[in-house]
Amino acid sequence: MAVTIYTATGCARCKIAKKYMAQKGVEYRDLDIKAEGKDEFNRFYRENRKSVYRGPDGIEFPVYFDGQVVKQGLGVVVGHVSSPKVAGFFGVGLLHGEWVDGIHISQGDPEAIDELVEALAYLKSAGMKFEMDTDGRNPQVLERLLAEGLGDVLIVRLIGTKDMYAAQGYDLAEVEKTMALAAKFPEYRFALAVRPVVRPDGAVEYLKPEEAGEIAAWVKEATGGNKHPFVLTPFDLKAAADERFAGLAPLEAKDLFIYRSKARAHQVMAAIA
Amino acid sequence: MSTSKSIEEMLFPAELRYSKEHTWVQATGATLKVGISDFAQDQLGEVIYVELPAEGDELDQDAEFGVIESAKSTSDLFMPISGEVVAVNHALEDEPGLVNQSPYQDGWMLEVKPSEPAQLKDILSAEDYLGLIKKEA
Repeated sequence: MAVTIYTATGCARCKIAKKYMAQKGVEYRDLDIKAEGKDEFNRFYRENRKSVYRGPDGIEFPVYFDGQVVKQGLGVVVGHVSSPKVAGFFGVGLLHGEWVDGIHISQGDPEAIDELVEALAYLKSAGMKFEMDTDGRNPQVLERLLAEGLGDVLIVRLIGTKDMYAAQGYDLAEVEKTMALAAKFPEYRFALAVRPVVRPDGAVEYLKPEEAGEIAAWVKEATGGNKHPFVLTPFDLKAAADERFAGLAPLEAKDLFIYRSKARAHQVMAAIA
Repeated sequence: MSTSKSIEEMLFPAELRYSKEHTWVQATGATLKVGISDFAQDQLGEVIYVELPAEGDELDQDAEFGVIESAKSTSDLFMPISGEVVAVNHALEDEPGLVNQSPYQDGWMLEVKPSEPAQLKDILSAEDYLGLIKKEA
């Protein structure tokens, strides 16, 4: 079935997506939801409402629909058109203007690195900048993006201590390589959410301040530096689906002071977001 | 808060009453008709979806009775008065834009049989509602 792309009047991101589709030889119908496409979009929305993503600013445009799948947002649409194999790298983002976010380095298939580079290179040529994130996997992807000049901002979302990473099956050498590469990005930060942890004996408690210090020390060891942007954030319990966390009291920013002190012993720029 | 037209251009019929949650209420014999005000529809922009309760549902004052969505925002709808929903405007299922085109006529949403008519005293006159939205705008 032919592709329909729903756009909003004056949406520059929609124009960038359409230009890429034309370059790739993808035939599409272009419908402006404020003009000729208004009635059709309203019908489409009512029929596919549960599949349509709404961000803080409303429906994310462009909306791509091939009769089966709905794809939304500049990064997601360009990634999908480049190759469905890169889909794991892209999620719908929240940033606008010249930014594309929702680029999850650790969640994509590293075998699709060429297709990812192609999609990002196109977006870069259109004047876009990237905010990417990673949990430490796929350092080879980061290395390639740095070599191609496609790295702008990288957030390394730390999930725990070495032991916690190992328990979850991560390759520690990969995570350490990611940490070292992160420091080469034009802008980057290490982000640690002070989250609930399920201990080996089944006990559920927050990450300990000493463990935050241990993680900050690991970043120092992997990067050879102690002056990296290192941000501590309270974990959003309301957003957690894990029922084991239900009995925990939410942490407030002031509860993180002790975590910051422990982290600052190894990363002097540690701060609470 | 931004609007596409000025408050002076909006219509607030004096024969209707208005809730602080921007619904209007019109007495029609033993029942009340409910919709959203010109101010509310203007805030939302082009309405693309309206979800309404089923006939027979009994809802309390201030309870959520539905959802209204435009491309830019989504809002919950709140009951201005307690009662049983005796009719809903099914035309909005296929033509949600009626809420924009005719908020007080074709874009009505519910007909309610009130269970506590005394609650009507909580609902504002057109003049008082205009004062409220001037403060919000």
